[in-house]
Amino acid sequence: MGDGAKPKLTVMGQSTAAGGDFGRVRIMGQAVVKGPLTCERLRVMGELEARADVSAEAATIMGQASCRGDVTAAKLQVMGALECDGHLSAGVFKTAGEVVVRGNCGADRALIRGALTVEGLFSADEARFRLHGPCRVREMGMGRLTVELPRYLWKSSMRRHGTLEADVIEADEVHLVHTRARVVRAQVVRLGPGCEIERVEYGQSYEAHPDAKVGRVIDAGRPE
Amino acid sequence: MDEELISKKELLDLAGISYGQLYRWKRKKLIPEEWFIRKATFTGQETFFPRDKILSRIEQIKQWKEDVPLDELAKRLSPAGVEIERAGDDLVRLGIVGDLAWRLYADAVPNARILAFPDIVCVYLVHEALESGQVSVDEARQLTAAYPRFVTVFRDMQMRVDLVRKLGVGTWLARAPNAEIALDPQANVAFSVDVASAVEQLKLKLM
Repeated sequence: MGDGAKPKLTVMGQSTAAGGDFGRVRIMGQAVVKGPLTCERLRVMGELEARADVSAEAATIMGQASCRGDVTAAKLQVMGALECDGHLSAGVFKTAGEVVVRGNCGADRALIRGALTVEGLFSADEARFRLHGPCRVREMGMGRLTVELPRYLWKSSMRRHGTLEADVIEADEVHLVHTRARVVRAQVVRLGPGCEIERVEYGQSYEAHPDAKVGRVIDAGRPE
Repeated sequence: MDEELISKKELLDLAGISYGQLYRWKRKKLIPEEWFIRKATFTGQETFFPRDKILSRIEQIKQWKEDVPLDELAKRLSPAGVEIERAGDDLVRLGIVGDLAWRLYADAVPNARILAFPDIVCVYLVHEALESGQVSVDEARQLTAAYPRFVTVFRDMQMRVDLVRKLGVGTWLARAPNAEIALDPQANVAFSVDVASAVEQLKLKLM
């Protein structure tokens, strides 16, 4: 189905929509969508309140969006704020704002450059956190997880940065800085400055920066 | 009904897969959420899985993932119905159900020629029941009558169907897969089948 086949929805002022299947959806004002919304492209520059599921091929949130149901998108970019009460799943997930997910959050590839809260499991093949804000995730299951400090052009040591807090991190490969976690389990573990980990279980290799605080380190390849 | 559980770490070692793969398959819904069982252990909360189910599922995924895209595979493995219709005679010819099972069903449901997926499941269950050798023809016929009622209660087909027999009189019973039942000590379960896994097998045969 081409772009012209489905109706467009543009909200400039304040409006309520029932939901439905659309081509392009643009929210410049304030919109309340009461039913499930499906579309090819979603662009929120104002405020969107969705009371049911939202699914889009490509979604860009530059304003504020809240969704009572699940959010599904092949490509999801958040520059503003997104709050999702259900599960969030995306192919490519990029954020530079604030994201709160009450359920699970899944992505093939994720780049997190802002604040993130996930109350369930955050799972991705490859995830990269740049710690611009506080990130809190209950459980992480990853292929490869990289946490790094934000990149500034100058005086980067004086700038403030966020931290990542998690209960359990499980991955094939982790590279962490400024992360607080109860358990980290991975084949390859590399801990940088500012890490506080109660328990590390590694399979292949383990490296830690002298400024990392680590409780117990267990070589999971060998019996305890 | 205590199933044997396997811890996540053991599973990864045994199946030879990585965390990344496990979580990817979970995300693609190849492994159902209900199989992730959280339990408290002395090192904190750990995740366990029903051992036999998860191991056979992972074998299936490994076997199929080369040829079939993951999203397609998820559709095949999910217990939800699929849009498949088959003529009853075809099912017999393909060797999915026995001739007797099909005749029983055709007697019970006149005008049944083309079957939708839930009906195919019914014939398949009748077939399995007869194959087990524990179920009489008459009891199998009763199953075709009871099945529509079971499906209205367990719409997602996540159920276990048992034949309970006391003093030679059998009756069919459907329950949630892990629900406990207590029986009259004189009665026994003559035959039991997990419908969700039967559906899974059936789908692999049909597609």
